[in-house]
Amino acid sequence: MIQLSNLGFEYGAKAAVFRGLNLTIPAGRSVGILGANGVGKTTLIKLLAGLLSPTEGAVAVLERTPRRRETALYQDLYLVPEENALPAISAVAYIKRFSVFYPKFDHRQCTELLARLSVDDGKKLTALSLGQRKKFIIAFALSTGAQVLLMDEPTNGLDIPSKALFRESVIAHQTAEQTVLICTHQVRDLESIIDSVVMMNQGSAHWFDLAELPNYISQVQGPVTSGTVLHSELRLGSPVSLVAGGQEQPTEIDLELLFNAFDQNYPGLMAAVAQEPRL
Amino acid sequence: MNPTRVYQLILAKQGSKPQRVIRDIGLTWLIATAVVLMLHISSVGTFTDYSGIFAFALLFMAQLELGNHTFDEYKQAGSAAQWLMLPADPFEKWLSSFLTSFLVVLIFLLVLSVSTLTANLLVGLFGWGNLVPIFNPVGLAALQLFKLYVWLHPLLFFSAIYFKKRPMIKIFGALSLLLIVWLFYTAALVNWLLGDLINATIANFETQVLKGDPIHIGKFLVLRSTGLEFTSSLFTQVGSSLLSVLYFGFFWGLSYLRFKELEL
Repeated sequence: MIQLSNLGFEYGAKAAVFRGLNLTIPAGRSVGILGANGVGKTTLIKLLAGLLSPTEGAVAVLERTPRRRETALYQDLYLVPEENALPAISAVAYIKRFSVFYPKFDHRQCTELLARLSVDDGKKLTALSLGQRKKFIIAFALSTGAQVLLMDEPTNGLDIPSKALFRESVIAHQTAEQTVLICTHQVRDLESIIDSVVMMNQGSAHWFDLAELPNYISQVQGPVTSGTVLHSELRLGSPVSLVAGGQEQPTEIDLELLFNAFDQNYPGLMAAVAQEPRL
Repeated sequence: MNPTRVYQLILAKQGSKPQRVIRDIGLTWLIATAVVLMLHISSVGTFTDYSGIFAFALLFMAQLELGNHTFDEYKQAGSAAQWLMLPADPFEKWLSSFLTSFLVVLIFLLVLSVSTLTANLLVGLFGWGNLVPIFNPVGLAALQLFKLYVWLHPLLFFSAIYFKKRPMIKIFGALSLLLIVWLFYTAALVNWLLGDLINATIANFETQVLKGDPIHIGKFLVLRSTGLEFTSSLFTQVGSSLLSVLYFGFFWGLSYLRFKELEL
């Protein structure tokens, strides 16, 4: 579905964003892309979308090279950018003009989603608020029937009820073959919709299956009595830790904690997930 | 290539900015009508040849529409991502912009016709002298304007994709610089290769050329009092055709390559 092989990208000779990324994301998953500022999350999205060429290695999406910008790939690959400059036409006019390029576009679903997200489809898109525009483009993206949806900070600009609606819409309309990649800083917005996560730091990226992860690591509330501590932090005065190894009763893994472990103890976390899983 | 998709791309592009299209047509109509009327009134109704002013208007329109708006959807990061990722081949996207840029001039010629018609109506209504000749959008004058536009097109079309801002100034500035450098280079080269011959030619210039006797420079060039000419008409024809093909092919081809290389 999505494969990065030794992927590297740099802006100019001395400004490498990342190097040697290797990653395989299977089809039909909801993936969150998490990383600190400047690690290249948006660059990775642009590389997957074919908007940039890798300076080394290769990217493959649906077994095609995105940078070739083939019609067949773009009928199955849609990007919701962080900032979009929509034209000064109504949502209805926009759908009429641009849906023709997507053979699997579902007009009924789009109308339903717009109504559900409370987007005024008769108003000019430029007259809509940032959140409304974002909701419109999300509804359009979900209706294209594209097999891969890339979303760059989709919840930026959405109010709290809209974030909930966004999550509901993605869950309700994502098909079994569809892969959704969501790049965000706001981990909490994603927790209920993603089943796996790509974590990025300076120079590395790793895909974690959130359902499998508790077989390799556990989250411990309070003092740790046994096992190797991968990362620990205080929350409301009480320690919360990630330790190597699964437990009999698999624990929920907090994404923020996991990210901090990835960011601050990358070798330790990688060693833990490379161990034999507890089944 | 899918012609239906090219048509859909043209519709999507034009449909994305309906107000601008209507505004630009309206503005061209108003300005052209006002200019025709002013020229007509200032010449006390004797002015009949609008080709010069229309050529100037065409230059202005070409710089505004072709230079600034041909690829404007690809110049802002937000809209560029959407357009670059639209499911269509890069060649189809380039071709849709190419065809649209030719539609612009056809609309412009129609607007000029309507402008002279409007001016005529006003002249008749207010009794401002003789009637204004109506501009024929499929006549010889229109064809001349179209030819001028076609010659400008490769340069402006290429500059529209290559430069983000003020493409017309930049492309003509760059060309002027290139031309100056090329002239100096050629002069130095000619002096180096044919210095002796030219010196001899200069020495004979007054005695031979001014009397009307041509001076042969090498096999292909001849210097007459009327100017420098190629000795073979075939050479001139082939040379000019080759230059035309190179000019159109180079800038149109380069614009496509540049378009293909666009990244965010």
